[in-house]
Amino acid sequence: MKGKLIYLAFAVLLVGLVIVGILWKRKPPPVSMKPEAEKAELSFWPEISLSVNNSFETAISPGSPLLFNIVLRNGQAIQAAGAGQARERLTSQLDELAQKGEITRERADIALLQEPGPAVVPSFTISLNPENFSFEQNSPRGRSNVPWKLKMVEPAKSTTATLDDRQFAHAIFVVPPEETLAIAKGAFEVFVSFENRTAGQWQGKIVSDTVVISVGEESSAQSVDERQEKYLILSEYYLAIKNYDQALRAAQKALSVDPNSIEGFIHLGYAKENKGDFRAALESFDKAFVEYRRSYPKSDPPWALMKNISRMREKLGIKLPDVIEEKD
Amino acid sequence: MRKHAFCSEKRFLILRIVLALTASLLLGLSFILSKPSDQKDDRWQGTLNYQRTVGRQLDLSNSSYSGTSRINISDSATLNCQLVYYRSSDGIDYYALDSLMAPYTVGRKEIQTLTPKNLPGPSTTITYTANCTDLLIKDGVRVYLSIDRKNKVYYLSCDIISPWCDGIQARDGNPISRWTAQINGSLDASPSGYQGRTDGRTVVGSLTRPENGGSALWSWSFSGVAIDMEAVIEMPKSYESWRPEAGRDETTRGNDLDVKVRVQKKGEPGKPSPRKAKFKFELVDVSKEKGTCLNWPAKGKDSYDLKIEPKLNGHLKINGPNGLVAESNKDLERSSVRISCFDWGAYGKLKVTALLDDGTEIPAQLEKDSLKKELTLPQDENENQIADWWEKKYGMSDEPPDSDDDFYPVGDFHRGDGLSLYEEYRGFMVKGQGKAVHISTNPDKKDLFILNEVPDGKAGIDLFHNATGIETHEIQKDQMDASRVINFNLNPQTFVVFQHALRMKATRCSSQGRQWGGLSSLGPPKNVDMVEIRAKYELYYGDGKKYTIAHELGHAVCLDHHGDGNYFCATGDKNPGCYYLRKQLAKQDPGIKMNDIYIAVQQGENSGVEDCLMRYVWAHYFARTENGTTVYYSYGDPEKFSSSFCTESLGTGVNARNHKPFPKAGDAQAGRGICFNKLCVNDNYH
Repeated sequence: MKGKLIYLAFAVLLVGLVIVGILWKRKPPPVSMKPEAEKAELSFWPEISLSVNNSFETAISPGSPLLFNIVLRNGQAIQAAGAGQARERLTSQLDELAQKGEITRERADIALLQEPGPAVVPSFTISLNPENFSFEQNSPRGRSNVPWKLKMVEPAKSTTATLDDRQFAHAIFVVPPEETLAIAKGAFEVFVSFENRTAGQWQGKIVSDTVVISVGEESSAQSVDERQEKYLILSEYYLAIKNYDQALRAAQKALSVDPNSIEGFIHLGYAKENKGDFRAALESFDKAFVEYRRSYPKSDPPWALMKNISRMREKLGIKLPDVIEEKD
Repeated sequence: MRKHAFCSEKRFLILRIVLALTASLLLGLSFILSKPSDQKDDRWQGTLNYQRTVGRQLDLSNSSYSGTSRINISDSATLNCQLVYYRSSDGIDYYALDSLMAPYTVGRKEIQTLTPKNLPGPSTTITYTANCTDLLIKDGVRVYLSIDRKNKVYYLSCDIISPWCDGIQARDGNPISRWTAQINGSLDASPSGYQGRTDGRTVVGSLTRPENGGSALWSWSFSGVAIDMEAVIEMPKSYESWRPEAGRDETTRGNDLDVKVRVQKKGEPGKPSPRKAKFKFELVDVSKEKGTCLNWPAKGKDSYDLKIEPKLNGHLKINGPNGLVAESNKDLERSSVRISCFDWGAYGKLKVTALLDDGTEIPAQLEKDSLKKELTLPQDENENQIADWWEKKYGMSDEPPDSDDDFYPVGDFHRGDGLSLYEEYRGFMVKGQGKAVHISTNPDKKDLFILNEVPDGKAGIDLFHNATGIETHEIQKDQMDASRVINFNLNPQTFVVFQHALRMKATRCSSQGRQWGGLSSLGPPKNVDMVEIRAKYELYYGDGKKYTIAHELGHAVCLDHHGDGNYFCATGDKNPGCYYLRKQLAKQDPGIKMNDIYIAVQQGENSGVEDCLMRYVWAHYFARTENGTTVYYSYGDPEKFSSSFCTESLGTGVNARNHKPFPKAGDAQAGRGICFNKLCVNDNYH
């Protein structure tokens, strides 16, 4: 009886295998032509940009300060604000082109489809606290914190900022010159993260592009511009931390390297202005202006410098006449 | 005892019956499943008392055909074997009869006439070798086997479709070798009942002799086997919206495309093929663009952009070093190939051939269009190397790949931005958030690439973009060459001009007199060595920088100021206005400096439309001539920075003719202003 069952089971199995095998072989090929649907997700976030010593690639020698300049903007709001204007302008140009027969109406309509038009982008409120910023570096071993301490000098105290299509936020962190003496020579690829978790405000984390900081010994073959750079950065640093005596000394050192240094005079002017010596500040700004005009005669006027000079005149109580007539 | 009982005849009989039933069931099932009724084919049988088509579409260049037909032969029967060829204008109606062949050029060649008397023996071979050019065959050849019985002609015909002969070349460009149609006639001397057999190439059958006549077997073959199967390239998933992508460099795969093929019974999708085949995959007409896109990497090499990589195709044997040809290792009903992509503008075609064990080659056809034997990669009906969906998106399906027709912003009415349609599609690497990203640019819109080395310079670039409508793209230093060319990995076939990027740099004001500072000249970008933003000294200058950037970028795309002539009152200047100003200021403070006093003149830099980024918005004084003398009026506060470029030359706002008490700087100088209609980013002009 047992043997019979074995034969029977074997036969049934065989039949099953044959059926399954043939059916499996005959399974129609899968045909799929339908493209996967695209998922559109809308989200908004601020943009953060970082520069160090006014550059994306900076080289310093030990003993030079580092100024980390951070700007937070609502880039999407800026784009959106311009998009309405852009679409309006595009529409009128397309109409004109289509009427002239330069393009077909169909192509004009397709072109218009590519212009998104204005979008509603929310404004962001953020807290500019030092704790919200973290500075890291990329290295072969991964990401790590930068090997120096940074201090936020601007804004001077924690504050709240609103980012929209017009308003942006600005923060300055510094590494004092004495701190950089201890930095190992080499190149550092650094970036800043901003993370805001304050209730009732925009919450999230954004990361800047990287900035390369090269630390090395000064070369004896440096140009005048390169040699004065150290002192100009130093004076900028002291201006940022409001140590105007040191800023003045650093600017004077820059001028000792290049007696016609435009920015040496400008930094000197700022230091003197903040020390309350407006006449000397005006002298310095004026020298910078004259040198600028000599160096760049065809360039656009140096508006910011001209405003500094005007400001000094005002502080000195000198008023330009409203009308000048060609007569005594 | 029990053993003996088990082996008793009765029980053994039951067992045998069960086994026999199972075996029958198995055999029956196998027979039913392996020989479905729809496979029954009687095309090769039947008397020749009517015309019938016995052939199907054939491809004599790499396949063969055979069949057998029974005919009745009486004393008066005549066998005619004729080769009739035709060429059609559309190549579609393969089954047209002579009388319906009006659109075709018809030729007829009698090969041999056979009668029972002149049949040379039990079998004969009639051979005709035709050459495409000899016969002026364009679209096909039809072979008729006809029998003239008592002056009534009956035809047995088969169609042999040559591989699209056209002169000395096939449609696919390959030369046509000579092909042969061979007719074998055989007479069965002693037929007895129906018999069927096949040797794989020739089907032979016989019928019982009719009562009042003889019976003969006429078999014929055309050097091979019938193609009763076809190979099909299945349309890949998302093919209609697929585009090639590159990896981080030329040797790194970007994306890939999985293409499946199958053999099936001819004309019957889903029905299994009677035979399996090896599959040969060939990539042809594959692009060899330099780099992976127009600006990455530098010194790009021109290696093949589509490949069949062993890594992704373990089931295939790759032939040759370039990864263009691969073959399946065994006979299969289905196979697939995964094609790797190494360029954002990669293009090519995939040809698949099913190889039968007897050497027959069956070119695979597209599932959606059996006339097409190649799958274009990407989908590219007009074969301009650009994915159809991308062209359609911009309404550019009729444009050639080297066209440069961007029309927005209209600007100075020069169409284009120096980048061809194919270049815009192939695209560029640009700076993304934290890493480089690839973009294809909009072929309707003019593009400008900028290396932005100005901290927080993006705000100014965004302002410029919003004001002009020019699409701005920030790039990294290694995404342009030393000459600032952005499309250096060019293809001469689709190249318009060396288009340049702009370099925008924040610099210190140097007393060393770098005279190239600012802009050396107006645009287009080829003329502008560097857009220098001397902003480092502008400590705390803040948002004003973005207007400076937008203004300087305006110069870089050919915009000038609204006029010239403004001047500074330098110390010692003999200008009357400066003289009198100095004199008046000396009364307040004899030692005061006044080198910076800036005078705006009529139709100078401050003139024209108030709301324009190319206009100066401030000066200390504006000068007017009144009753023959010049009067200098305080300019007042700066006007608000603009966010647009003007379309007029007449003064507006503070410069309007009706501005009270009078316009500050008046209309723009002749030929100036109208900035929005002077924009040009195209290095092909100016």
